[in-house]
Amino acid sequence: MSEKAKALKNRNSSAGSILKKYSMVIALVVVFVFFTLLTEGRLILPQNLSNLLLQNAYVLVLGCGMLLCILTGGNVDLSIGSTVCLIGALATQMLANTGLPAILIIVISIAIAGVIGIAQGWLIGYVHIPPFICTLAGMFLFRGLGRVVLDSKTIPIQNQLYLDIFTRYINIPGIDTEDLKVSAIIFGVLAAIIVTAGTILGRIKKRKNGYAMENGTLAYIRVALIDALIVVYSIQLANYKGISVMLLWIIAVILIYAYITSKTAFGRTFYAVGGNEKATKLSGIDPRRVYFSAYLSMSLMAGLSGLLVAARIGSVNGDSGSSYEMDAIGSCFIGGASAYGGSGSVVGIVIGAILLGTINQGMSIYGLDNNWQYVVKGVVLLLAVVFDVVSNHKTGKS
Amino acid sequence: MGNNNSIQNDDLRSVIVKSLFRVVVVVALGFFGINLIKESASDSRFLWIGVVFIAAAVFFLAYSVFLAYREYQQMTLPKTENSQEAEVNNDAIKNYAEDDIDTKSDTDIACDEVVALTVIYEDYISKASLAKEKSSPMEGLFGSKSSPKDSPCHEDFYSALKDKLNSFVDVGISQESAMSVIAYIISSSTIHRKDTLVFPMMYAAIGLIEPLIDKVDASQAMTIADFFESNYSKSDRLPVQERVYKALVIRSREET
Repeated sequence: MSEKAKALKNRNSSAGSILKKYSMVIALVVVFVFFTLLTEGRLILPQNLSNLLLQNAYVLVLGCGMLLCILTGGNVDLSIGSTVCLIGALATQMLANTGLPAILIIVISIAIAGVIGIAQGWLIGYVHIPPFICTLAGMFLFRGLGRVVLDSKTIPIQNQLYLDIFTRYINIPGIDTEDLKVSAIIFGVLAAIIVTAGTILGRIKKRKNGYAMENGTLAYIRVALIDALIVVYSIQLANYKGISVMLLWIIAVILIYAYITSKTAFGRTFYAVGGNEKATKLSGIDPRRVYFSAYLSMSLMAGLSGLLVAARIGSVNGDSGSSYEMDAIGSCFIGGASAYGGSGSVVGIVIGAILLGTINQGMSIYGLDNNWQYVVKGVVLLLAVVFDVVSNHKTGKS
Repeated sequence: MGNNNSIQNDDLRSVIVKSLFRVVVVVALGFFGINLIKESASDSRFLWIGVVFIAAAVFFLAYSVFLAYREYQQMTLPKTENSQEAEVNNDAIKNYAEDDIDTKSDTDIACDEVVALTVIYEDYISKASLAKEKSSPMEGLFGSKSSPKDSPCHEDFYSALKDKLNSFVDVGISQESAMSVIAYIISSSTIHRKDTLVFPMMYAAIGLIEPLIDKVDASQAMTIADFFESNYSKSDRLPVQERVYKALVIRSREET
């Protein structure tokens, strides 16, 4: 092969790899522009943009937990929707009947979710019950228990402190006014600075250690785009009610999971078990502990979601959390997590969840029937898994 | 020399970016704090929150000054001869790893031991590819077993490699051959890093080089440790690989 032909081939393959790497971002942009045009710009109104993340808070939180389960080999947790219902039910009943402080109730609820996670993690990791069966049983069990706790009624939440902890909008006196919440803009600018500083420092560290780096221009264009998005989004939030505390909860969960999965040896163990369980054992990791940790973390996130959803809706009933597991699984696969395990990222899940949320919200604003939303979500999920299967079989690499 | 300048520039840039970032955080904390204290006339709760913000700003400012001073001191420290030597050696092993093993001629390969390892590695790669080809796309999906990941070829490879390395140690391997074997095993896992089918077992196989570490000298151990560190960050290392890395570092310090 001539040098010219080789150079052309390299250029094509690098363009192809960039396209593949950013395929979900491109899909998100296309879907977003499509629904913005379809709804005549109503999708990008401040209120709708604010709701886009808040309505999908549970998907983002559950998706982070689900990622760890999927990484261990494409395993999923089907019980999380029911856990959301059970934890929400327990919290509302405690708020209504016990007189305990809201913060203590939150701690107790998360602890109960932890107990559920310990039980499921032990059964899956140490007793070797297949995750599908174990969590399917959990799905029925916790849904039933949730309905028993609620006595098949809808219980409203009237505790203001509890609602404030999850749903209040940040309003800093002296900075924020009725018309413009400047604190949201300050927060956005700070976030943009953190992203930029993180990228620059990360590149310096990589260069110093001799690690492979992506093209500098590409990296800085990406950072500039992300910064622009953050600032524009924060301006839109400032024009509505400012930053919701729920957004801070979401950001905290995302940052913690992103750090664990990309910067710690503990996070690496989930990828390792999904890659090859026997090799992981030979590398000194106990796979049973990894499965246990994955399902424990998943239940804790389901517990937190239960509290978030209860606060956002303001009440809990026996159908709360229905099909939430499918949204979480969908956001993971759409975001690039492999159904074979060993591959996936928190950033991918955020993109997947926002993509699903945009489709949902866009169709709602357009006035499309709710049933069609399920059809579209199903098709998108199917396409994501087919893409994963085909690309895995074609290349032998996930 | 040029490389050293580039590293120093990077260090300086790193200190500047970090310092600027810290200044922004201090200003933001102070800004929020002052505004909250100003508003405390309407609600006394804001006074305490404002004081906490101001205290955090002062604490963070002091901490930032301390960090900036320490970073500047580290930046101006002269480089040791050992670290410069290690950089040169690191380039050598990197070149070894970056070339595909298949493209090396027999004369390039340092010793018979490596030739024997090449056979085991090539056999493993071909068997793993075969297992992949024979499998259906649905195998291994959603946690189902009997995927190419569960093929016996992975464990066979590990056992064969273990036996071979034990035989090298039993017979008495030379220092140069031990270095070549260790370099081959570590660089092979690096080369196949993106192949999720064979990489995990090749990575686990790094644990098998432990008995050979005593056979290499301190500078060789340092070269390998540097190469290992630059390819596998701390978060990439599982317990066995971390143990091997630490053993290499200890060995590199023994005679220096």
